[in-house]
Amino acid sequence: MKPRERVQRILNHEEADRVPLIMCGAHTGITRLAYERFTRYLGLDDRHGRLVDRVQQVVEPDEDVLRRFDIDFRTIYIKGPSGWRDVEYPDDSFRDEWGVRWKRPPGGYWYDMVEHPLEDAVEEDLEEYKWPDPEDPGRYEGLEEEARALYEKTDYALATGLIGSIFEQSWYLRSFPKFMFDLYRNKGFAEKLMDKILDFHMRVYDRFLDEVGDYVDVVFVGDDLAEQNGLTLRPEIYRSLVKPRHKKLYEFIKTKADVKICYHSCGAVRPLIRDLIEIGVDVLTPVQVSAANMDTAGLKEEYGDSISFIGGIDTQRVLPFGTPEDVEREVKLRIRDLAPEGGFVPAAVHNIQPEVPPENIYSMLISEKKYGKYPLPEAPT
Amino acid sequence: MSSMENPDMILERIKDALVNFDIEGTVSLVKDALRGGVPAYKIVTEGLAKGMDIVGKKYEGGEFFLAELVMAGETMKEAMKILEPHLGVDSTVRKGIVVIGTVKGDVHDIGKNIVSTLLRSAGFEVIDLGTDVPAERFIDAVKRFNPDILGMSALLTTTLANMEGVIKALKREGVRDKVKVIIGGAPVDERFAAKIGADAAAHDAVNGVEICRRWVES
Repeated sequence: MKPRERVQRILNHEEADRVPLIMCGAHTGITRLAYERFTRYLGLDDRHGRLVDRVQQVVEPDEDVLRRFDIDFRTIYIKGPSGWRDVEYPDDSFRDEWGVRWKRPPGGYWYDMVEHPLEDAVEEDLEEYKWPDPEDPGRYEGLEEEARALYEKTDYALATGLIGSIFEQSWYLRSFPKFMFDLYRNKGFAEKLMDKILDFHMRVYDRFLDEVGDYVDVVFVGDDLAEQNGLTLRPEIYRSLVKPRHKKLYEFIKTKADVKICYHSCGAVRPLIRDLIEIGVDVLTPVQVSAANMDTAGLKEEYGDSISFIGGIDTQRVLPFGTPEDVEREVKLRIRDLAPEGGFVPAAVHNIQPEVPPENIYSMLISEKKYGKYPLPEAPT
Repeated sequence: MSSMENPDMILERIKDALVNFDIEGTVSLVKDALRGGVPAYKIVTEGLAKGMDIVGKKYEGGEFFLAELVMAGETMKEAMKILEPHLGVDSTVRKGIVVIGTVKGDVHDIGKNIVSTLLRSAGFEVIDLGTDVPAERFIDAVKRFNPDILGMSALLTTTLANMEGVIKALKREGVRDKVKVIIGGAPVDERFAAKIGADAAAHDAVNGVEICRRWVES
């Protein structure tokens, strides 16, 4: 079976010859350091991948590595505006095109926000602010050719790199505490800010899907709505202020292209899964199994008919600190829970982090193929 | 406060304003209470701290969400800015000293800041070293402030190893037995704490403060 057909069947809740594999994309992929160590372990020299997310230090693996492990997906990334460079500072910090400043501590692996440009803004300032330009042709240059080539010359399923966060982008601009106060107490401001961001994403998806919509199978969107122990926000706040904007964007995406929408939220997001299904989300990722109430058997039973899952291989304990045998058991367990009747693409919960030993990455990829063959063994009763 | 209002009433209102993360309301009530002659330490212990306690319990019970915990923390912080000049060294019953920080390589501080605020409201003196704190700075602070407790935070699994580094350094410098060590952050648990030689792991901010409280009270 060809990868594209395999992915389509699985995400349509049908079984295929096996579960599909993913180890690419900016939220289902691998960090640079993990990739360099993994490829050395494979006996490949001087491999660094292609940096696709600076903040998270995520790379797209080289084609031969993707092939070696029968990865079923390839990713199309939107580009930056023409001539855009991050504004660099000497302390390993930079300002992105939204004006948010990010800094990596010495010896750190990631960048984190250190300046939120709208922290002290009032409503009128939102009109004056220099928003990024969604129409900039540089963002879309060459994407049609790239996607068409992948579609016509390969059999891989095509996914897009995640764009379209509204809630998170709002607090990146505003700071987390300030935006929480906005949502609860200063709703006019919160709505106006989110609308500015929504408008940007609508226009971006309009252009982006004009270019690649005919070739793409899965569009990645997302906004982290939960933490380790529960939701970030009171659900009524999500439902009244954020959800209508998610809905508008996802419905628009589906008018533009025949795609599955894969929604990324870390954490204990279970209480909002029904809401996500309602607004057109087809797939949930990364299924953070170590967060509260994210047990995979329960998720499958409650939501498995209406939503598929990508992820589920524990990234907080098993992958970094377990043995290759622990990883194998974890993969087997998650496939047993989530793969019956399709609807599951096993992957690390979020990107593979720098400290994950290469033996564990190897064990994960091999075990996914070994235990992911259909028909699945009967679960012991 | 009106001259007729009794101190218990205004402390109750401060508590309620904090539970509603009403910054302006809390700040103005705190000012009223000071003007009305309520001692600053009483505003902290019987108004704000009681409010934070309720917020913490509601968060633990799933009735409050992270956003609300953070907003209450911000409200507490603003109120403390008003109160700090009025708090003499021994006007509060100080529970103990805690040195706290996010370990090297990690600049996440939402969790640590909540813990600091909760600890302060519970009567601890907190020396917050900030984020991306190298082992040497933890050691210096332990030697200099002689705290009862050292708290380390990390969000990233990638920086957990640095917690162990700090504990090793404490041992090397011969000060490990002078402090209790508590660690916190999403990826830590009791097993990890035991493995690296910490005394406890907090599964969230409220639990962490509970543990600190037990330590100094026992």
